[in-house]
Amino acid sequence: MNPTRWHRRPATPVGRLCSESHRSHKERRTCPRAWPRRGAWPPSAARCSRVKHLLAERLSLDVEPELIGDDQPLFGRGLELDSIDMLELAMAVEEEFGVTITDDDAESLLSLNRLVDHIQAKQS
Amino acid sequence: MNRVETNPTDQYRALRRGCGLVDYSAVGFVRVSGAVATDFLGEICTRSTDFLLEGQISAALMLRENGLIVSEVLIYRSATDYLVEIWPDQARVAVDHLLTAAEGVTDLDVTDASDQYAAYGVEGPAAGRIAAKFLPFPVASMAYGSFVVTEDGLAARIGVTGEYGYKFVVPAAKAADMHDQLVVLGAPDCGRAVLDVCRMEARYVNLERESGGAEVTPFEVGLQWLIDFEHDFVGREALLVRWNNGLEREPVCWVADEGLVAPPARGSGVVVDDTEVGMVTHAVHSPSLARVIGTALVDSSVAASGLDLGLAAPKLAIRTISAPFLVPRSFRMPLA
Repeated sequence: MNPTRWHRRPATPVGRLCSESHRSHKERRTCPRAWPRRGAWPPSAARCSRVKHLLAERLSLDVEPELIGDDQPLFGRGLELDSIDMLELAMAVEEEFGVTITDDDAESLLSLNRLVDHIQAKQS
Repeated sequence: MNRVETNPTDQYRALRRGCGLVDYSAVGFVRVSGAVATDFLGEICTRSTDFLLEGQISAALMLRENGLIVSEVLIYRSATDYLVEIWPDQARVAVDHLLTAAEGVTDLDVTDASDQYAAYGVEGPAAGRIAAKFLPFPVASMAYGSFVVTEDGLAARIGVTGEYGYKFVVPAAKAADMHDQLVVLGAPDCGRAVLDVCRMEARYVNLERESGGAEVTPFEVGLQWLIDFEHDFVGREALLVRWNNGLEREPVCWVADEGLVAPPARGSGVVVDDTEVGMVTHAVHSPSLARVIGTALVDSSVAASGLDLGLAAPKLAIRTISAPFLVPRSFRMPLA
C-alpha cells in the first residue's frame, strides 16, 4: 500500500467548493451542440462521471471524482491503483453496471475512458 | 562513452520490443533538506510529501500563483532529504523557481545539484532483465514509483513509455561508466524523438510539446490528476477559480485516417463540419499503429472518446479515442 496515494481520507474541500459550478459545467457536456458519432457509441459524460464517482467512493480515493481525467491511467502512474484495488474495482463495476471484467478484459483498466468503453460495449 | 548509433526504427523497436537506453543527463536535480523541507515541498508542489516514505517517488507539479505550470517534478524521498528531478526542457526554469522560493526561508537548504548527477533510463519489455543486474533483490519485488540506493547511486522504477522502466541516477563522474555498462547489457541509445513517440502512444503528457512552450494550466494538458487540493500549495486558489468557472476546452486523444502521412503542426485546426472546435496540440507518427496519432484541445462539448472530427487543413478525418493508444507489451509480460 502506497500512503502517498490520494487514499483513505474524507471528502475533499474542493468537492464542496466546486459542486455547484461544476454541475452546470458537466450538464453542458451532456448536451453537446455537436455530437458527431460513427459506429461505437461514444462514452457519455454521464457514464464517465458515474465511473469516476464509483472509483472514488469504492476505493476511498482522496480525490474529487471530476478531477479524474478521462484518459488518466489507472495503474502505476496516474491513479496509482494496485492489484487489490483492481479487484475491488472489478467487483464494484459488476455491482453497479452488471458488467464483468475478466483477465481477458484487463486492458479495459488501462484508463478511465477504456473502462467506460468496456462497460458500454458489454451493455449494448 | 561508447555511444551506439542506431536509426529511429531500431530505437523504436528497442523501446517497444526489447530495451532502449535514454540519456537523461540534462534533467535538473535539486536537493532539498532541513527541518522545514517537507513543508516547503508541500507548499510549492501540488501533492503533499507528508506521507512520502523513504525509498518512494512522488510525481507532482509546480505551479505559479496564477495556476500555470512551471514544471512536472519527481520527488525522491531519502532518509535525510529530498531529491527533486525535473524534466530537461523545464529544468532551468524550475530549478530557478525552487531556488527563488527558498530564499529567506530558515531551516531549509535548497541546492542545485544538476551538475552533480547524471541519469539514464532503460525502458522496454526487457528492461527488468537489465535493471536486475543492479539490484540487491529480485527485480519483480521493486514497486512502481520506488527507488533504492545502489553501489553506483540510485536505481528507480519509473518510466514514460508504458513499458517496464528503470532510471539510474549516478554521480556525474560515473556517468560514462554507467552508460557503457547499460549498452553492454543490451540497451542501445535511443533519442528523445523516438522516446516522444512512445510517450505519446502511452499517453504520457509531453508538457513542452503539448503546451507549445507557453505556460498552461494542468486542465489544458490533462494533468489535473497530479493535484491534491487537500493541502495548500502555490497556485491552488487560481486553479479553483478556473475550475469553478468551468473548462471551455479539454484535451482529447485522436487517431487520423490512413490518408494523413505527416503529423500536423501544433495549432492546426480541429473541426466539426466546417466549425472549428479546437486545435492540435501535439502529433506523431506511430510505427506500431501505422497512423498519425495525437492530442488536441477541443471544446468541452466534443471532448469525448469515439467522436469523428476533422482537421481543417489538410481536410482529413480524425477520430477521438480512449487512451492509451496502444497496449504496451509489458502489460502482458510478467517481470522476469
